[in-house]
Amino acid sequence: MSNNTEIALERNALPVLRKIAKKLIHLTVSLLALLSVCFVIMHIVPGDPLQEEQGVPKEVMASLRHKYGLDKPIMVQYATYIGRVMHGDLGSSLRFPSESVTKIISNSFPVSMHLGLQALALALTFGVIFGAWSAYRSNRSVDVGMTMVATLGVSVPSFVIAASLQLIFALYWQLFPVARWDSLAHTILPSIALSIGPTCGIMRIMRASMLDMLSKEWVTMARMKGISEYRVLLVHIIPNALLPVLHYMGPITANLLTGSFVIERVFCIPGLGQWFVLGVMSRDYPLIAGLTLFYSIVLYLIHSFIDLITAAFNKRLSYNEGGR
Amino acid sequence: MNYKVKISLGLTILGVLLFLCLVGSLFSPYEPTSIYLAHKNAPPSFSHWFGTDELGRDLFTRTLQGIRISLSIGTLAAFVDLLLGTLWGTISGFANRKVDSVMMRLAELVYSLPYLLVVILASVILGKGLIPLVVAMVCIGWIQMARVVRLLVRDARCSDYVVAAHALGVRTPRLFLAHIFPNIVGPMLAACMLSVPHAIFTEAFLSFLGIGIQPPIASLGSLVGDAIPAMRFFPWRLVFPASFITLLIFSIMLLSDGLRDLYDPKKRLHEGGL
Repeated sequence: MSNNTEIALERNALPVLRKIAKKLIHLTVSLLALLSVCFVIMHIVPGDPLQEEQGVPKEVMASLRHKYGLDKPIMVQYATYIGRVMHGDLGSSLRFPSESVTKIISNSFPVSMHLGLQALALALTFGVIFGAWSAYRSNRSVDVGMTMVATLGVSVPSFVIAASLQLIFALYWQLFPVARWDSLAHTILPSIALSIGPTCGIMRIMRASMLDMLSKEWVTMARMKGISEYRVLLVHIIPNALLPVLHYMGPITANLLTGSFVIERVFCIPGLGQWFVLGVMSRDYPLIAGLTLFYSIVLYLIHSFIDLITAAFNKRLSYNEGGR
Repeated sequence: MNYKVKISLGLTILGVLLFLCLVGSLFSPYEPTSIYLAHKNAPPSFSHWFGTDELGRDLFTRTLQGIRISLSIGTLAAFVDLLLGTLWGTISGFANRKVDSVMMRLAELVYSLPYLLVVILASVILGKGLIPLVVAMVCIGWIQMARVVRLLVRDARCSDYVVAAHALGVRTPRLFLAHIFPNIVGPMLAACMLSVPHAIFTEAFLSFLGIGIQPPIASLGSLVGDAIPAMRFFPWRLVFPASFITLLIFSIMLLSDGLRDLYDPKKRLHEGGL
């Protein structure tokens, strides 16, 4: 028996290690590609971050350019850039010289993460519950209504939701603060606004996968054995139906990250998205490059985490090494 | 809800919107960019159906212009996505294992870059306008299409009718065009329909942030963005563009849902609708 498990372990451990190694290589290559793309793009763009400084004497301008390394050949700038990034130093923002990009990220990321997690929790809870309910009552009026609402929900851009919520709940009824990010009450409207799209997306996926599960033979079998309907639902159907929802978590988190650009803008929240938009508008190379890199790493980590969870849940996937 | 209802409802709404776009300008005597400061922020009335904005521009005309822009960006982006994706996906689907894996690795590499970040970066270099925006979106958008086409081609290549045709000596180009293509065009279309709302969303999103379509041209996103600071006093400036962009995306979503159900008979069976 123990011999068997050892063999099984060996057989399983190697593919897992190989998979992790493969993922790491993939991560390094894509990050390097992203960094280079970022660097090249930012240097092809016409315009210079210092061109707006007016009335500056030539010598001062030259020393400024020297200070930021803008006078060196492009390859040297690239090499120093990569080298500094390796040490976790993303440089200092050109428009806000007192702030280093790392500091900006460490100040604003917690805010964005708080918003994102709150929205994610809302989306998962309501998406799964309503999706399951809708599938269980499929083709009745409840289902038709909810499907319609879900389709409508994925069709409304997040800024429309944000603005409407702000107009109705904050300006007309004055139930919540209009904007800013000070207390728990401030976080409610932005989280709801950010979560509506993902909620409806999860609802649609949950409904489809529930329908799929409901028609499986083992569900009929479980019912035949006389297991109570609650148990069939909670133990047999829903855990299996959750798998596609898990797969969908990657796109959802990406959606939450980018959705926050707009939500943070509408509600004046000092998060990462605000800084990114600000950086793009003022051509702040180090800020844009640093944030892009940071976003990609976060997205990548989330993707890998989801992959791991999915593999742990889905025995078939882990059995034949990653499936497709 | 069965797929017929979805498709017909989607087509109806889309048809009405298209009709409005084409003939709507007959009903309003204004230009989208002409300014009448005397009528600024006018509420909806018979002379200005949707009211006016802070420069006295007619919102009905501007909303129609926004719909036209959204629709043209959506269809253009989806069409280019379809072309590139089909080309890449077909080659990859027919190629031997090594070429296929290299092509797919490349696609994956581009795909792992965050979509919106790349679109924003690309639109920064390409400049601001309709065509640069579409190019920026296609940079990443084609990959989803390529993956779908590759899977479809791979699936089809294993099916009996293709093996039979191959055994009878049909050459690869004809095999694809005459045998495989007619069988996968439906699902391809359904996948392609999904990239239309995606492109419309992205354009609206960027225009809202002020990095997409530039003024004075109106886009639904920038109309909403301009309306937000004044929404407490002039809510109509928010309501009309916001509801039209929602309707537009809703109709296309319904259409693509319906098409997907239509080409996925297994799913249709589950839903009990036919």
